[in-house]
Amino acid sequence: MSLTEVKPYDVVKKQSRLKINGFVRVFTSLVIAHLVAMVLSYNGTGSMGGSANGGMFNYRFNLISGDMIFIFTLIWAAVIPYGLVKDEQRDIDFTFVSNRLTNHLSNFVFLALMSLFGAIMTLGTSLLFKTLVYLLNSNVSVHTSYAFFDIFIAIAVMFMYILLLASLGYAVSLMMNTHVIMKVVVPVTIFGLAFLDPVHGTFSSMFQFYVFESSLILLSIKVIFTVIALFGVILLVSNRWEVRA
Amino acid sequence: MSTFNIMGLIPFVIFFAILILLIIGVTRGLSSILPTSFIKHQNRIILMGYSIVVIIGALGYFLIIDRDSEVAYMMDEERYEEILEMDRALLNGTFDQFEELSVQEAWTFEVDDEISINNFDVEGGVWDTPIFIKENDSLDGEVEVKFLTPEQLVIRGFVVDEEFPVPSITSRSDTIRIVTTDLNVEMELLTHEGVFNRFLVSESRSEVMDDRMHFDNTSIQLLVIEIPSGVEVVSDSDRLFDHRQEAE
Repeated sequence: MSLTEVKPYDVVKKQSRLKINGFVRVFTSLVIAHLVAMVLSYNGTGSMGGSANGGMFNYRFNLISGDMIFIFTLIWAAVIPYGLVKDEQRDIDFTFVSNRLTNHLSNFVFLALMSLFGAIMTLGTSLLFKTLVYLLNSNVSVHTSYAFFDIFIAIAVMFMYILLLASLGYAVSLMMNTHVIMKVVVPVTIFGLAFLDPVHGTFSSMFQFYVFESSLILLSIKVIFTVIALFGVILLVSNRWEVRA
Repeated sequence: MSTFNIMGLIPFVIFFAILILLIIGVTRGLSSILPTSFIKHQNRIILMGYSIVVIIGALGYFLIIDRDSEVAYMMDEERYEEILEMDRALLNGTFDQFEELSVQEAWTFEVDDEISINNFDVEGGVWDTPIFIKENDSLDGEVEVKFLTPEQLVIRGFVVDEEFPVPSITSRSDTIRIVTTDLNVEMELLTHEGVFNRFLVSESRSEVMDDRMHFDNTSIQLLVIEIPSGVEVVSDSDRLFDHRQEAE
């Protein structure tokens, strides 16, 4: 029995700080992902073309946006949580004075901070990319641009989507780590559902529910409730796990 | 003439930057070459360096990019209506706003009593440049051909750097031969990430922008042929408008 009373808040705070320091390479990997996305986006993420005056004018507009950068960030956000729940990481977590609740909470704090960093860097990289294209090309025009306050809305929207993907990634990774067989069952189930989506439409309706939302407040409510529900399920399921000897 | 294209180098520069970052990452900071302090903090150094580049780029976006060229700003309602009116006038031959356009190119040819005008459109196309005939008594045995266009070429709501393509105009045995040339325009358009459009662009503004993106001024181009009095004009062009008859 310890004479020192440890508050869960202090444990979570300490663990989160340690995880940020320990997983700093995660942020470097985002930088590399963004650099790759910029190269792939250089010739445009889409294009539109046509002709006017009976073929006298043929035009082709290459659309320059940070879509690819955003997609790469989402992939990064979905994959990174796997590293948080790997067996060796769970072993490290047991060396701290903690329980499953503080462990998950510190992971959640890490994922939230990671999502915020990802959102800021994604927008920043997108603006950097557009500035580079503007400076390096002679024939550039602006279709839509950010006003200064738009960047806060953009960061908030991105944060919500990244957090959603990171939480989903975390939940799926945890499920995959419950048993060796789950490492096969979970991906197969996901791919199976995706493959049969034209029949049951589960993924399509989930996609529409989040991606077609045009109100930031409603999107925030949807994402926050989803994340809370996911963590609730994670806590319930992980409490049933056997304790480590 | 070949020109050095710096743009073509950019993907290679970024590729090598990535390669260097990967090498540093894989070899844990090129441990044999770089100082220990760098190897120890390589992730922080990379993050800090990239963050500075991102901040400079983001500031550049707000300070350097001419966001006034945005489609909705560019095409104000008054100007939009004015160009539509010009287009209609060019179609029916009632166009008289010659001073609104600028002369992009002019030619002078010798002429006798009669002049024949052959107007050929671009190969495979259907465009027929409108021709306005005017009388100019100061011309003596000569015709003056002027190609008039707006100062800026607007395609699908965007001002493009290229100018209107000047038709090829030649004269032989009192016959003026006009051949329209085509133009290929390639342009980069800076635009929002798809996911943000719904949050940042209001529905009404989006409708205006869509409307403007169906607009261009490519049809606002014409030829004015000034001829001395007494010269007869022969042409089979459907879009030849003889303003001398109106004057009479």
